[in-house]
Amino acid sequence: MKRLAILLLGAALYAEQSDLTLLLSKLQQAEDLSNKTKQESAGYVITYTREDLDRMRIKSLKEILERIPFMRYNEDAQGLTDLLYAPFQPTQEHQIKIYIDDKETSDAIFGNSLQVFSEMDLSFIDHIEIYLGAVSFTLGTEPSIAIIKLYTKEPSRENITTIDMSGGSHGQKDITLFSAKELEDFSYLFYANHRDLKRKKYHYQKTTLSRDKRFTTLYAQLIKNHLRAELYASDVSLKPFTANAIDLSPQKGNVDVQTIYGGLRYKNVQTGWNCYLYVTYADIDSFAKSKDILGVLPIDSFPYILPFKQHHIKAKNSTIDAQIAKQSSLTPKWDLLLGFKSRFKRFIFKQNSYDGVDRSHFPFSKEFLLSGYGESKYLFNQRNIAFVSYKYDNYSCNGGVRDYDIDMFRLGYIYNDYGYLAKLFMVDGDFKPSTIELIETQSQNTLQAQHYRIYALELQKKGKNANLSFLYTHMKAKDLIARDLENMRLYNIDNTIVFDSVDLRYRYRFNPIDKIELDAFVVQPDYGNGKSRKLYGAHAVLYKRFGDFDFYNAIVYRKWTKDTKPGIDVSFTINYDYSDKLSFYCKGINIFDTAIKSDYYGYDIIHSQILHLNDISVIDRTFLVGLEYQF
Amino acid sequence: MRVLAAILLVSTYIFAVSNAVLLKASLFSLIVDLLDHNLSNTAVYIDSKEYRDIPKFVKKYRYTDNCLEADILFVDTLKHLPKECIEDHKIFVTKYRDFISNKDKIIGAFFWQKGRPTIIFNKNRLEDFGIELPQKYSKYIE
Repeated sequence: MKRLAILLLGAALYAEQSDLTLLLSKLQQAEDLSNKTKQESAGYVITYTREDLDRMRIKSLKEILERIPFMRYNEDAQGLTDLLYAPFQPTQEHQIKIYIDDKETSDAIFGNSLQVFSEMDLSFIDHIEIYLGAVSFTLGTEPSIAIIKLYTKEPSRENITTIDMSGGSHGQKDITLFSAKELEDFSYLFYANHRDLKRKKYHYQKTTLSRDKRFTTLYAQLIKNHLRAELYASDVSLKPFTANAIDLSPQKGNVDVQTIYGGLRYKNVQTGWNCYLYVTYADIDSFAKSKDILGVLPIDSFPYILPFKQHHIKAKNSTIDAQIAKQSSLTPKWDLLLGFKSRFKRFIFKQNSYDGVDRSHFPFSKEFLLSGYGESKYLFNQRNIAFVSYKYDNYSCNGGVRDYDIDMFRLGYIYNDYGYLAKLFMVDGDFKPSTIELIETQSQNTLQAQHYRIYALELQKKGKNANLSFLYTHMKAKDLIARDLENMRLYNIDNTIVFDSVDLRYRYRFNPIDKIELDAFVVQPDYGNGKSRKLYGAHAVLYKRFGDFDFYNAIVYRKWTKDTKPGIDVSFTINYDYSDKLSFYCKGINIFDTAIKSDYYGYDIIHSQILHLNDISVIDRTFLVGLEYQF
Repeated sequence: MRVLAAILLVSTYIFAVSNAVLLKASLFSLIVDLLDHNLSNTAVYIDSKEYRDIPKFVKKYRYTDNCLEADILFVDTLKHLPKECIEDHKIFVTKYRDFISNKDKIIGAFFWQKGRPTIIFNKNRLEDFGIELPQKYSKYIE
């Protein structure tokens, strides 16, 4: 039998053996790191491989966020990414979380790291996985509906030092130094980037509104066998657009955030151990001043709201994340994953002053999460696998803030053969209010955990060169947290909100280099108030090479709410390899300035009028040229 | 029914081996044929993590543990080789670091660079051994 197998194998081998270039290209695809990290059982996964990112010359996560099914790219009134932005409403921190390898990137106080990270450079990232549709909570620390996992480059596969410089529209500049090598006993990665991201300015009456951002980022990794040490530091300085000023006329505004984290990770695929310890420290300084009224502060006594012109926050926070997890094979067909995670957050407001009056004395300053989880997978045969997962989170808070006990339960089934893949998932669980929501409501202790139940079905037809997939999700959300615009307080919505979504995706590879991807989706929300409207989106992406030129073209379409006009973003990248060491590229994003736009609102308290700031491009029309030199 | 069972078993065995391993085996075989196409019963010495499983899949060569009697050496590093194996042998290294520090001693190298698998043949050493690669592979010669 073994001889017959080797004979067949030999025939397969020699059929492939004729061309070195073809073999190298196929080996690159087969050995792509995304094939090793992708977790089919964790949800509906969309992968952007190293090859995709390189050919896009991706400058920020924003370029991918605008293509995620069931969402549109959007920014809040501070010019920060918020895919589910709604005017005056809190950021839905639990909707999407970003991980760099296993490390969650969120800020201890303000949560949603997507807000800043989406415009930062990604040159140290190898590939990206986006998990949607009843996502496994074993992927992250705190649960979320969608997860974006960024995997850093593996130094043993880099062996290179490069410098990349680019500049473009509005005066934006970018410089990146990257070095990663395998040495005798260990390997290292070092990355440094400085980005001066100038963006299009807008004017409201006589006020200039800016979303300029400046990033300086350092990242370093040392790897020895299964142990990895890493260090990350970033300094972000940004202009906060309207600065959430309700008169839309901020006179001054700036936000500065310094973050540093270090960690150790031990991961051994053979033994199944995956353990880490990370320590993060962040310092935040945010200042905004408006001409008339910047905002209103809810207070406990008459008149219950207090208008203010100026707000200054100085805060620092630290987080310790730890995990111990082990995957074991109890029998040849039965796998069990058991893990414990903990997260300790400490935050101190040195200043939180409204018109010079300090209100920084919050008794709530610590939050401790202790979490235990397990996932049991049973392989019926080579094609059928079923699994069940459970996670229990206990959040302990100080300062009189109530504790939260959160349960999450997930069921799944996968059928996989050479031609077809089918996945069925069900998740039921609660998401605790975010830390910033608890800080805001700490004197009332009224917020309940938000409850979600999600069903997802994926069907996939796999071919040698083509792949067609269909995804249906049904999500029911209860007790969502919103802001009451009458009194500006946060509360749990009574209505159950339901989203039914369908996505169809087709990928075709013309040859080992050229490929196309088509995607279309529709979302039917039901807010329970009769105001529901379908949301539509689609995109087409083409990668094509002609000699030393490499082309990437993308068209992204979104038709969203009644107040927003539909938009089409047309983007491209052209790469030219001048030599083995030097390459040039040019890039256009939203080249016709037709991508979907956003509207922002203010309120004139004196005249009781809503103020409008309409048709703001959240994806700026941008042209860039750059070069990369390999030492 | 027995035939069907046999086919299923064989296909399970083949597909249990990852596609990447098969491609590496093909690559190995192609490199050896390019460097030693005039010889029959080529003797190959392997001391490389990347290629250590190859003898299971490629049976047409003779594998030896003695580097002196090998026609081609596939090694991660030259450090573990005795001096007499380095001179007058076709050495193919499989680590970038050894490619950089031993360029004059090796006939070729396979390593990963910028996330891509890369192969380089050393022009001088090819000439030393009188090996001429097909024209279509000239871009791999340095």
